[in-house]
Amino acid sequence: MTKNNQQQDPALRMVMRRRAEAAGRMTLPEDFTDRLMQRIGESESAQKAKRRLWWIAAAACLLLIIGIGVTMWPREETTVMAKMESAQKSQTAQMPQEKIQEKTQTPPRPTATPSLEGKGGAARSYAPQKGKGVAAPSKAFAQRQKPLPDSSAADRLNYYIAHLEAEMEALDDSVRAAHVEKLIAADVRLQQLVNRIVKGDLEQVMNEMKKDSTANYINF
Amino acid sequence: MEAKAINTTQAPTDETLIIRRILDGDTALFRQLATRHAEPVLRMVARLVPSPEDAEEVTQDALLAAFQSLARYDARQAHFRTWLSAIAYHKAIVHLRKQHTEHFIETNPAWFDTIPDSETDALLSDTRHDRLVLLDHAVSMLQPNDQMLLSLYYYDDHPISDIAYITGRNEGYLRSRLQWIRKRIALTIKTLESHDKE
Repeated sequence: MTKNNQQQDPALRMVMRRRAEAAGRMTLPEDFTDRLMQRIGESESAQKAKRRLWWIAAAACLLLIIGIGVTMWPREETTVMAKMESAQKSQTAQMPQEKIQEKTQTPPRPTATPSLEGKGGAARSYAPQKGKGVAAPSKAFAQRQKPLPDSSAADRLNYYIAHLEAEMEALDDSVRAAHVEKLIAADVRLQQLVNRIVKGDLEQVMNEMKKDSTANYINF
Repeated sequence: MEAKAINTTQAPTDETLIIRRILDGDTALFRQLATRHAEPVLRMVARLVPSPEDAEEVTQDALLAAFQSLARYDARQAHFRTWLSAIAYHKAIVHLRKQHTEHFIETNPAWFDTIPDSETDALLSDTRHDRLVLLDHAVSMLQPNDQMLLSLYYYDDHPISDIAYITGRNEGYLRSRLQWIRKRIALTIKTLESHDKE
């Protein structure tokens, strides 16, 4: 080895030069650069297309994640509804005790009239309807006596209201809104009825008062 | 010699400007760089890849790879041609590994440590015709990357630091490898001579 750390090795240098010169006789064809620039153009468009695909894929993944997040996110309504239902259920659990006490104190409840039964009857109308989202009333209600056939409509109304209360507890969310609407409509009709009755009563009283005053006037 | 052109400190500054403009979007300017450097790269590749068609393909692959990684070129680390030579070197090695068929001759490993450095120096300095033929034969028996190392060192006269950049190896390894290659060539020549005598 030489002192300057550079190998002389003249024979080896000669061999390497000959090999390099043999290789150096190679030349490039005239269209080499044109073909190279064409390949560069093709690779650039391929890269742009790839980049576009990546962006589309990333956007699609993002939308998917957002969509899943939105559908899986627990809604406030359902949470509140669940709380209300559980509160009502706990109240209903106490109801059987109260209703049994009522039974011993109040007269026997009127059972369903033949006309009602003919139209579908209390028992039949309150049977759980399959596939319509209305579940069976609570066990406590099932133990209650049906209204007596000769009971008044007002008495039967109390019974039906109690049944409604039990029924609403067990309703599915899918039909609950429809039932609430019906109750609201029924409430409106009941209020109108009460108004008419009260108005009628008032008018009657007013008429009687007028008659009395006129009679008194005549007599006077 | 192209080696001196590569090692010049007066690297063309317009190349840096051209590269900057290419990176800014003027890709057509790469044609200028390709025209300037394609032939020297081909000559380097051809030392490893004797087939003209293969050498041309490897050269084009190297230039395309250089374009695609142009943003990673750092003018402070190496001249553009040195950087390009590194890419071409690796492309040529990969090409050869796919095609290289080993045809070593069996050398007696016991001889390896028995050849003194002085004998190695003498064998590699003997310029007689028959010795040059054996030497050429011994070189062709080397692995492609070892042949390229010899070519860069003995023909291009690259310093070890430049060769380290081109090959991606550290300088200590390259110095040891060169010594190993020299001994290997010497051993091969002795083996071939002993076969001839038989």
